[in-house]
Amino acid sequence: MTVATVASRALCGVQAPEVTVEVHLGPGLPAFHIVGLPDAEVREARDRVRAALNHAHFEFPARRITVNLAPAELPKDSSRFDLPIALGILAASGQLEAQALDGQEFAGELSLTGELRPVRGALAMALSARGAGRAFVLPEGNAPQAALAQGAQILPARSLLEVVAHLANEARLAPYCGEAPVMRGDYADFSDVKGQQQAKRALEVAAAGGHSVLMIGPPGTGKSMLALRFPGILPPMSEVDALEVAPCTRCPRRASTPRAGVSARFARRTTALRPPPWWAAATCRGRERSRWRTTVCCSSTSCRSSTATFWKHCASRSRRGVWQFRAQRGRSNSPHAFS
Amino acid sequence: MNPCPCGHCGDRSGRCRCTPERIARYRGRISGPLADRIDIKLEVPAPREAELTGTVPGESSGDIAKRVGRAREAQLARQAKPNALLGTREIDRHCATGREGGELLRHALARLLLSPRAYHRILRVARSIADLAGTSAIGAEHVAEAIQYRRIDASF
Repeated sequence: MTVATVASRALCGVQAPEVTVEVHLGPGLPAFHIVGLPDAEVREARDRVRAALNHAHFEFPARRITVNLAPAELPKDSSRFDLPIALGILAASGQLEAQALDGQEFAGELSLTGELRPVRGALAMALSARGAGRAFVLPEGNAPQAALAQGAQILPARSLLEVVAHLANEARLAPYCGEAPVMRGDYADFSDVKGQQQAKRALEVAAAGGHSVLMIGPPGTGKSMLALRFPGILPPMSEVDALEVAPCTRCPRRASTPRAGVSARFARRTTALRPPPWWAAATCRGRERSRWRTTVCCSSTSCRSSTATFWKHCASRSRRGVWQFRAQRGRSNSPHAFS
Repeated sequence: MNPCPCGHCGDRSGRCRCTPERIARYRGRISGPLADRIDIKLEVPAPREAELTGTVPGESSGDIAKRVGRAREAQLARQAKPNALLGTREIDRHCATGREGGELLRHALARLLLSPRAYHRILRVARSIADLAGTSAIGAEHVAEAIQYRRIDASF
């Protein structure tokens, strides 16, 4: 047997599409190639798998090893393919029964000593494995999270040796039977917010019917306080809804006002591109016009001002470098404003 | 969001110096089509001094959550989904307003220049308000409250 296939999962957002890890041992000079759009983490699996197999006293085949992660067009990241690649090499080299791999999916990062380390996306993978009707072998540290997928058969393992012993029918892995962690947020109380009865009432209506809300008000009046307390009055989620959003809660988040993101995006542009030196002269000249000011820009330098939105190319003139900008009432156009 | 870039538009002290153009540009960050899809637009003014310095505690989250839970249970029992997800046919079936409420809604449609989408969304919100009140029929007061959550639509 020189070819073996092992089932595993990639992570694509909150979905976990199936990936078939194919391992082929061919003739030729000893080499180890991984193909199928792997990123740097997946390529580094070569060294981890080699060390882990050697440390566990398995034979690392001195042949031309080709690992294909199918489907080839799906980008593969993370170190979760270490375990399936190692098992594929063992099965292809005859150190493990290939049939033993059927009906199971594998994911896990290998340490150099063959220990299994936790990986990202255990819940999404467990949900997909449950959908495919397969058992899911994964590192022990991921078992509680994966157990949120009720009905999935979770087989936690501590090391490569434990997985091999399980597949060789010597010491079967025990299905995880611990309690799934209860994911209930601890939110501040609405009684902390003084006044704002109307806002509280509107949030209550929104929570009852699942409606969308936009709060508008001056800074410091309690919009963020109310928003932080809003999840505390939402009705409990159904199991289906909770599982759907659970993979998202594993992503790192940061509380911010919507504006912060916009400012951050434009920050680089406004600071990197300063108004050109002729700005002051141009604005002085422009002040003579009432509504529209016409000014001449030296287009050869292709410089843009921080108020680029006010500028547009003058379509009525064929001359290059003629720009118009709108007069702003009550606002100084002095270059000092941008320095 | 704030009402303008400095945040004090409409303040009685008159400290806001934002030009109408800047305000329009700032509000334009939320486009009209997006704003139209937001059911409840809420003005959160600064609380009065008496409210701020008073020691009367507000209602706790637990009490509010109980009412919300009852309203949501009623929705799931009636249509197996929250009101926000009702389709147009389900709106016809479950969100029938009385004569007075219908009159109010027609009036508001013309006065506030609301879109057909906003019309349906108002009905869904009115259904939620009636569910919170524990009544099966949507009354005029429920419709009126739902309409006032759309009051500032014109500023987008």
